[in-house]
Amino acid sequence: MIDGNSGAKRPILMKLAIPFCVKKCDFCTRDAIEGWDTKRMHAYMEALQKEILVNAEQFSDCEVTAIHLGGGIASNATGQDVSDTMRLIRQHYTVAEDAPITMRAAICNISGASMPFFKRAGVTRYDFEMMSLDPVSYFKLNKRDSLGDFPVICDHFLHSYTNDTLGLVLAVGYEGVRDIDFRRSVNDAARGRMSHLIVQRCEGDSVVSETEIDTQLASAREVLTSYGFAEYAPLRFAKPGYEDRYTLGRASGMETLAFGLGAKTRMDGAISTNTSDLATYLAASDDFSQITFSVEPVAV
Amino acid sequence: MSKETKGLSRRDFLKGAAAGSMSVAALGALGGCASSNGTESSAAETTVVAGGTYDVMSQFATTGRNQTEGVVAPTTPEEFITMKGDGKLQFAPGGAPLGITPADFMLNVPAWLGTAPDLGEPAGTEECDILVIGAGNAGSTAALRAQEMGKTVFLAESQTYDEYDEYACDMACYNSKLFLDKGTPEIDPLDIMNEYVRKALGHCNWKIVRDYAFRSGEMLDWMVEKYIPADYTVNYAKTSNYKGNDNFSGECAGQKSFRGMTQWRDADTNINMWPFVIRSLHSAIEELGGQMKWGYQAVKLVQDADGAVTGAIFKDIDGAYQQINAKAVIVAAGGYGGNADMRLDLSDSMRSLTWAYGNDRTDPTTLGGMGRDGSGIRMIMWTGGTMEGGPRAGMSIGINGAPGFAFGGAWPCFGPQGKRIMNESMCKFGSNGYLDTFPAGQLLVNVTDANWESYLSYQGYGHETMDRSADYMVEVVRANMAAYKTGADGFPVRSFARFGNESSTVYAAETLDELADLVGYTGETKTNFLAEVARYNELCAAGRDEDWGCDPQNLFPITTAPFFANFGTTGGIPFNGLVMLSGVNTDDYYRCTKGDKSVIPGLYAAGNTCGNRYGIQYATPTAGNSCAYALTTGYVAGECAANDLM
Ligand SMILES: Cc1cc2nc3c(=O)[nH]c(=O)nc-3n(C[C@H](O)[C@H](O)[C@H](O)COP(=O)(O)OP(=O)(O)OC[C@H]3O[C@@H](n4cnc5c(N)ncnc54)[C@H](O)[C@@H]3O)c2cc1C
Repeated sequence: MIDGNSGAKRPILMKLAIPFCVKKCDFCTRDAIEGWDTKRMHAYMEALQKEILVNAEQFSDCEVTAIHLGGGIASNATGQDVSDTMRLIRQHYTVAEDAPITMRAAICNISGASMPFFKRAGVTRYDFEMMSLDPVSYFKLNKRDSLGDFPVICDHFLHSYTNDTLGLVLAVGYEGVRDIDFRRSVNDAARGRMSHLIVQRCEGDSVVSETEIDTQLASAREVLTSYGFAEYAPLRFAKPGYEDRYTLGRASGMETLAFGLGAKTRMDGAISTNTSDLATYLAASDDFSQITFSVEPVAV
Repeated sequence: MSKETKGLSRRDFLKGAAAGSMSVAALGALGGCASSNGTESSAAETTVVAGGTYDVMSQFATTGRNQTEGVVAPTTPEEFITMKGDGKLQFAPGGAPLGITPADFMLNVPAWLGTAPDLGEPAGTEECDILVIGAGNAGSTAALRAQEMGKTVFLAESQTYDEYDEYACDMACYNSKLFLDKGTPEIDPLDIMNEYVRKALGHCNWKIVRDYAFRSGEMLDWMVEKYIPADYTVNYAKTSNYKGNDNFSGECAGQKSFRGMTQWRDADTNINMWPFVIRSLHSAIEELGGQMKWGYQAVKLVQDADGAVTGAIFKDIDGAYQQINAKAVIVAAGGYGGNADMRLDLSDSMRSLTWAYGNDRTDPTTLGGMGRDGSGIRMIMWTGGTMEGGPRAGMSIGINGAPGFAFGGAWPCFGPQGKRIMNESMCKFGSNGYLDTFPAGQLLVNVTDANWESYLSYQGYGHETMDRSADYMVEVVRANMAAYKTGADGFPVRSFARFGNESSTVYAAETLDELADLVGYTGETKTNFLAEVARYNELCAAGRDEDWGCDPQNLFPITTAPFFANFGTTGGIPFNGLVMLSGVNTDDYYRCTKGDKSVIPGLYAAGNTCGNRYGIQYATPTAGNSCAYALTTGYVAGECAANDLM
């Protein structure tokens, strides 16, 4: 039996694609809805809720054991929209009581306006895309958040000195970021209150050689190990007991129900992929036949 | 929202596809977007919003150059005097109509404001004398004060009882008995008032500033003596003269700084206790016969035919609308720092700084803010209220532009060339604009030596120094510094450049030469740095900073190993501060006003919803004044509303 599953129903994972990115970073190839548009983001969240609702009865034999909000910076959605969406899921799906809810987030979205609602939504783990904590390389890798905000968010909003909600994403291999900068970043993260870490390999034109990446990763592994972190999946580090259940489930091939733009559901031996055309999705998210881009058997 | 599926469901397809009995082409037959060759229009498309069409630069560049006949410049003083004195007004030619339409640069109704929603019939209606919206700092004191004065008060809060959280911890109140009884000298409240007005450059409501200067201590004593359990005060109210600055003269670089900060923390865990302690005020409201309405999110105010505000409509946690009617409404829903759209439009000074680095002008995430969603301000404006004029204060202070730095000038600061660049004892009062004139990524280094602690005793009471707000925190910092490690990885020190439970990385070396290597000064900048430290030490010996005017009491030489540094860089996203401090216009009694400065009957604002307190920039003559200002405005606004109903 998978952790958190009552045993009576089929354990599945759930992913909500909330693919917002105000501006794409030049080292990231993620496909996302760019630009800040409050109205459009709200319309997207409403469309997502429609898709979730219309599918609910079809999956009543399943129990969701972990939920991931990602595909972009999910915290760009308003706290209210995120909490309304999660309320809908809890009302219409069976969600294991201890199902962790992980959100890809940016600290610039955390405030007294959003945090009460993220809390209401039951988010238990934040993966903050800080990309660097080292002041010298920070401004090259993060063009969204103020580094000065980081300790405030940890201390006052996450209360990360007592909670285990804090996770980070750090970028490795960006041209112009020295080995020592990356190591200092990892050091700062490990010394802080973080319980899990994702190291993201930079992609695109401004990337250092594989050998250099390997050197940087070796240094990161040394630092992280000395602070009690283990690499539980490739480039995923956590203190014992803080591994991401969603990541582990994906790695072990668990079935995943996914909603939203470009979302890939893997279930019953098949993979169905949603459209990644925003207009189509917004217009017809409650009509499976309109928004499904492909349905294919899982390759054996 | 409908649960009805249209035609076949996702599950049917998944099962069909797995069994090989249903093809993707079948989806196409249903009119879906799947194509049999597996291609699709590319990724998410961004809706492009057409901007203004006016090209200011090309128009401006050709306006008014040598175009006016008969205008001749004077060549002698006599001609100049004759021309100035001939009684004719001379205009620069310019002035050709620019042809800008409002849509090009300014909207009469900003998009973030919108209009009050139409909510239909509420599910229920209740009545009270005074309705307070928002159970944060200002709302809690407003409600309790009004209830205590005999009015029936409802305090409505969008968070539920269980969800409730508050963020402040440091609280600056002046001349409270709590302090005076411990031997803190009494301060002339006029000095306090004048200092705050000076920091606001006069861009404030003097009566509101006066209330804070004169009555914050009274407000603190009122809470502590009447409503906060004594053991909470004994255990958590740290009033140990902020940061142990026993040698501070009271004035630094011409700026005054006052004692008066209480920090509500638990000594064992260092946890901020105010979010818990403030609940004593909520209990007191209920004990006195008022009501807490948890999970009530105000959506709009209710007005009668004459425009007087007579209540508000709330969304409860089940999504139903509830109306509360009242004779007076106090809006204390905090500021707008957590509303990205409002921030982009209203946070003008910080916005300009981030734009100065060429950041995307449409991207509000580059000027962060952590406050509330601005709903209080918007609701007031829907009833005819107006927003305080700019430039509007964010809570930015000191050398915030430099990540990793202490708030202000605790230590000498060396810039990108290895040389000092400013009066460090002044920068607590705001140097954002200055540092933002540097290119991004330039090194800024704070340096101190083995005597770091004695230097701190000459620092003031604002955010100008490392946070060691109470004795037990000093112990932690001392222990961290004593366990220093030399080398490239640095070592963690709690509250060196951060605060609360967060530590920052400090670098240590036995020589200044090694320290320079650690922080990244090389070649000429390293030579400069070493020479500059020597120069700084000479200035310290002379007791006068010829270069930048650092206050003499803060001039301490860097001579004794081990040497310490931490560093940051210029550029990136400026620290916008914790909350936004501008709000709506009110009269002297916290009554919201319209554009013609007439009062909106029945409507009051307090805390960060209430404007005209800080003017252009947050200032900390004492750290913790934001929270205490909110508490005091609430206390007085509650009193004003109750008095108006007498
Ligand atoms: C992380 C952080 C740390 C801080 N630390 C300090 C500090 O140590 N010292 C200091 O002086 N200042 C500090 N501040 C600033 C300080 O918290 C604020 O200035 C102060 O709380 C303002 O008080 P307020 O009553 O105006 O707003 P708040 O205290 O924010 O209260 C507003 C209340 O209204 C509620 N609300 C909002 N909208 C609605 C609505 N539509 N309907 C119903 N309820 C609503 C909110 O949920 C909230 O409870 C800090 C701020 C932050 C974000």
